Amino acid sequence: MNEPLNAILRRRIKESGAKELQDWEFTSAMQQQVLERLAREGESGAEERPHRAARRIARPLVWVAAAAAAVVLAISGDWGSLRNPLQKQDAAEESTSSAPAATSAPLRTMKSSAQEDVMQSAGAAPHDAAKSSAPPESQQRAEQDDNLRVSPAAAPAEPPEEQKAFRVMDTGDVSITSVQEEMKMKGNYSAQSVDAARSPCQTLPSVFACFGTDR
Amino acid sequence: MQEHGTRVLHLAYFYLKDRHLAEDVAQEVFIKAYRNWDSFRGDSSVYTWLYKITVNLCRDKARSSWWRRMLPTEEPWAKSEDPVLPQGEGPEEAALKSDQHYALMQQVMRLPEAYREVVILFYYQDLSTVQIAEVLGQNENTIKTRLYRARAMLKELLVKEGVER
Repeated sequence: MNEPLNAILRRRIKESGAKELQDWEFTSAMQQQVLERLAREGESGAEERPHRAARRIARPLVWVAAAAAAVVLAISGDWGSLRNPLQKQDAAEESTSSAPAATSAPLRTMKSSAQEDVMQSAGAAPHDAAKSSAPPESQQRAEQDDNLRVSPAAAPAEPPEEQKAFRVMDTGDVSITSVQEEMKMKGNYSAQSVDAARSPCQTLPSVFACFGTDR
Repeated sequence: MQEHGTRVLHLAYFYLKDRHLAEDVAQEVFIKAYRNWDSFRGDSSVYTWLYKITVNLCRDKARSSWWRRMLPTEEPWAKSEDPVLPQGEGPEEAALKSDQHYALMQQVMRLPEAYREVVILFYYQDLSTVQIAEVLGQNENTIKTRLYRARAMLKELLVKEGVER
């Protein structure tokens, strides 16, 4: 019983399939496409293979190096100093007050870059050119400087070295230093508190103020 | 390639039910075969190996969401308006025969994939149950069971038509 059924199914499925798919063959055009694709992939594969191999080797090395760096940083526990180099700067200021111009260099660099940003956004020339031409705006800034600068009368009596440092440093630094001195006098001085005092200078209006009072 | 190409093409068509997709797959089969020629151990015949690649590629394509959207929803063996009349047959006989062919093939294409592939490989591609087991990566007994069930499903249709009693 199964045998005739098998025969019938085979015949009818074959006939039906042949009817539906007649004249549809794997042509030489398809064969050509296969060969072209193989040739193309062979060329590109030969070029990409060394890159791929190099990447495969380099990827774990990068991860290992990154992990090792993270472990070293975590063990050394020096995150704070990396995060805030100004703390170190303040410590150096304290120890070497005789060389204030040199120690205030990083802060000045920060400020001068902020100035350049502000000037570029305002379409003005760099501050050296502005200083040489001395337009009326610079006079206004000088007035603002005077307003913002701590008057010698209000400032506490300082040793001559400290006063020298005042003149060399920017008015922004002067105000920070005065806060620093006040804190020292009150006895709650720390690098973080100095940073807190310095931070208003990072806001946009105070950046303008710093810009206006620079030298 | 020319020798096995058409058989691979037709097998892919029975899986994907679309000629263009089947052509793409057939090309991919030969590219894959060329790339992996070193892995062909020669335990089986070349066409069994090619069928295995074809089946795997078709399954992958049918599973991927992009291809599922591309696959046709209508039956490929839908009854055509103007069937080709075989020579030596009257129009009535030819129409009846054509109807029967289409009905059977439609039934085959509606079978679940596990049964359809066995039916196509056994009846259309003339593979033995051992070869089908090799191509599909299944036990021969599993293939025999599937073939038996598929045959039972198709028998119902034939009984309705009055061919098999």
